[in-house]
Amino acid sequence: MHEGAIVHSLLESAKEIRIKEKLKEITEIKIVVGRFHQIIKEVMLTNFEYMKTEYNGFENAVLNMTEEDVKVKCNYCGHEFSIDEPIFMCPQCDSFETELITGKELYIATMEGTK
Amino acid sequence: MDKKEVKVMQKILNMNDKIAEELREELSKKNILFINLMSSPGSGKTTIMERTAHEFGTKMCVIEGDIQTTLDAERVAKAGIQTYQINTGPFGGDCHLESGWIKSAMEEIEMADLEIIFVENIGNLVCPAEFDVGAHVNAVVLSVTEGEDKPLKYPLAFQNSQLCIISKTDLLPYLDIDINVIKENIKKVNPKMEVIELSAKSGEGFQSWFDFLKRS
Ligand SMILES: Nc1nc2c(ncn2[C@@H]2O[C@H](COP(=O)(O)OP(=O)(O)O)[C@@H](O)[C@H]2O)c(=O)[nH]1
Ligand SMILES: [Mg+2]
Ligand SMILES: [Zn+2]
Repeated sequence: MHEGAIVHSLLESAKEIRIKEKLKEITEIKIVVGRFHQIIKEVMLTNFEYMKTEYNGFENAVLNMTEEDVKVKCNYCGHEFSIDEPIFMCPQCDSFETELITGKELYIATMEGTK
Repeated sequence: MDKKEVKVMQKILNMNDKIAEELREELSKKNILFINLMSSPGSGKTTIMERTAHEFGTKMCVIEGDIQTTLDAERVAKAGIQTYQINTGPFGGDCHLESGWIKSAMEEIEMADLEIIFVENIGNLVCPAEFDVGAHVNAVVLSVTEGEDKPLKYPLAFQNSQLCIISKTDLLPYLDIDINVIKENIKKVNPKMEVIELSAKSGEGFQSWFDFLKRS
C-alpha cells in the first residue's frame, strides 16, 4: 500500500543523488527502516524491482534494507531496553515515563554505483 | 569497472517532510490551527466534523480526503462551512494523504477569518500514519465498536498522534467493551497521549473537545 509511495520517494531522491555524485550505473542502495514503521520488506523489494525500470541508471540496482529494532529509554530509572510489542513500559520499574530512541528511522544510508 | 560508494544519510520522505514543515510554519504565522484526523472507515470523523461545524461555524474549514466521491464534503458543507475535497483516484488510489496534496488544497482555501483547518484523512490506520501532512495536532478517532486492542494493532498511528478521540460512547451500554481497557492500551502505546471521550450522536463529551480546540 504505502510502500509504493515510499519507494517512489526513494527513487526520486536517488535519481538526484546519482546525478550529483556523477554515478553511471547504480549497483546498490542501502536503506535503514525502523521496525516501528509498518513497512513490509518483501513489499518494498517487489515495488523496487518494478519501479526501478523507469529510472535511468537503476536497471541493475539492488535494494538492501536493514531493519532497526525499537529501543526505548526509561526517563525514570534510566534503563534502556528493546521492545517487540508496542508497550512503552519500563520492565525494570514499571514506569511509563519512557521515550523511543530508535525504531522510527527511514533513510537512505549509502548508494553504490559505477564511476 | 570502477565502483564508488557514497554516504547519503538522507530521509526517504524528506520532500514530504519539508513541505509539511513549511505548511505548519505558514499556518502558525496566520494563527490557524491545523488538525489531522485519522481513523478506520466509519469511526465517526465526518459526524464529528458536522457537529463541530455547528459550534465553530465559518471559522473552520474541512479538507476531506477520500479515494472517491464527494459525499463527505457535501455532508459537512451542509453545516455552512468551507470544505475542500481531495480525491486520490478511484483505481489504485492512494491510501493516505501526503503534504503535497494538502499544500494544493490550502492554495484554494479562503484563509481570511479561519481559526481551524481539519483534514479528514483517508480511512485506514496504517498508511496515513507514515506521512506528515503538516498538522499541528495529529488525532486518532477510535470508536468504541472497534475493539479494545486497536491501539496495540496500529501503534504508529497512536505513537505519531497527540490526541485520541474515543467516539460513539453512546453505544457503550450495548457493547461488551470496557472503555478503561481501551484507555490502558492507548497509554501502553503512547503514555503522553491525551484522550477525549465523546458521542457525535448525543453530543456528550463535546465540551472537552471544544476546550481542547480552544487551548491548542
Ligand atoms: N451511535 C453513534 N453512531 C455514530 C456516531 N458517530 C457516527 N456514527 C455513525 O457511524 C457511521 C459512520 O460515521 P462517519 O462520520 O461517516 O464516519 P467516518 O468514515 O469516520 O467519516 C454513520 O452511520 C454515523 O451515523 C456516534 O457518536 N454514535
Ligand atoms: Mg468520512
Ligand atoms: Zn525505569
